[in-house]
Amino acid sequence: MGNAKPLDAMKLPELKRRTRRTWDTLNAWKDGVVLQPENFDKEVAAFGDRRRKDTWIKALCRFQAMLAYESCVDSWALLTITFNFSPDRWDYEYRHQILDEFLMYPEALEIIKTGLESLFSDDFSSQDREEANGFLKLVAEREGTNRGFGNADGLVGAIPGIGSAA
Amino acid sequence: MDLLGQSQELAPQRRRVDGAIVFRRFTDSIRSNGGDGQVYQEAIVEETRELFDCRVSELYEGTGGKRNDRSTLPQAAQEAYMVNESLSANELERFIGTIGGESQDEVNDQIKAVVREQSKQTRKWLPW
Repeated sequence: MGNAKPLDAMKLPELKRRTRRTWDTLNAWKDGVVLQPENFDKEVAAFGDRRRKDTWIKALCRFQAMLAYESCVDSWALLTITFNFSPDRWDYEYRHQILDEFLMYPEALEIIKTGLESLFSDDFSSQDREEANGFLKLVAEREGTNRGFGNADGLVGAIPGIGSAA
Repeated sequence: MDLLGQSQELAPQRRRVDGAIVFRRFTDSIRSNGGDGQVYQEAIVEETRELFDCRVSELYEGTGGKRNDRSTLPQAAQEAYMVNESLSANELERFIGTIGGESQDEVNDQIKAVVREQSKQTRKWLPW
């Protein structure tokens, strides 16, 4: 954890740049041509005052969650790559907020459950499973906080070992 | 070595190749070029758009696959992903050591450009 950046280390210009990049990816068509780029400001403004940092954090986390959803061809890769947060990643400080936003999708828990089932099947080695450590840590960090994991009959308890491991 | 002291060659460790194995080689090739988790996501979005003219979610909805499990996509779609990810991995492996930049974004952009170009080429050979 030595590399961990202090909370809210990201400065406003970087926040804006990253928010824009993710939004562009979501709204691009072929060759990176962004459709209706003028909508960006309006969409960010829906999260609050654009002069405020927390507005941009909210927008970034929502857009990152949308990108996680839109790039999820395989649910296990969501856990081993997309949500395998580690302190050296730029999105580490927002990991909980990104996951919160992702959990707003009605299928979110199902996607995560399917991913865990795949990872713990015979098709994956224990080494492969280690790549999900960042995600499993993230889940463990949420235990005992007011950040649950979806609803009460959701993931915790549904997957043997996940709820009781931490 | 057998009992007579003669060396025997070990059988190479091989297994049946499927879409998941190819996909992992593809993601490894992104990582080997310095790509991060962000460009991996961007590359998937880009690849899907070029190959199928839609988003990942639309591909699953349109074909009736079980969301986020590529083995439930129609065979033609699985093959398209598999071929493209295999060829993209070949291309990216060729680029290892040459992709660089001032920032992570620049590295990511170059990786994405390789995937985009390969996806365009692959698309030409697809029947739709």
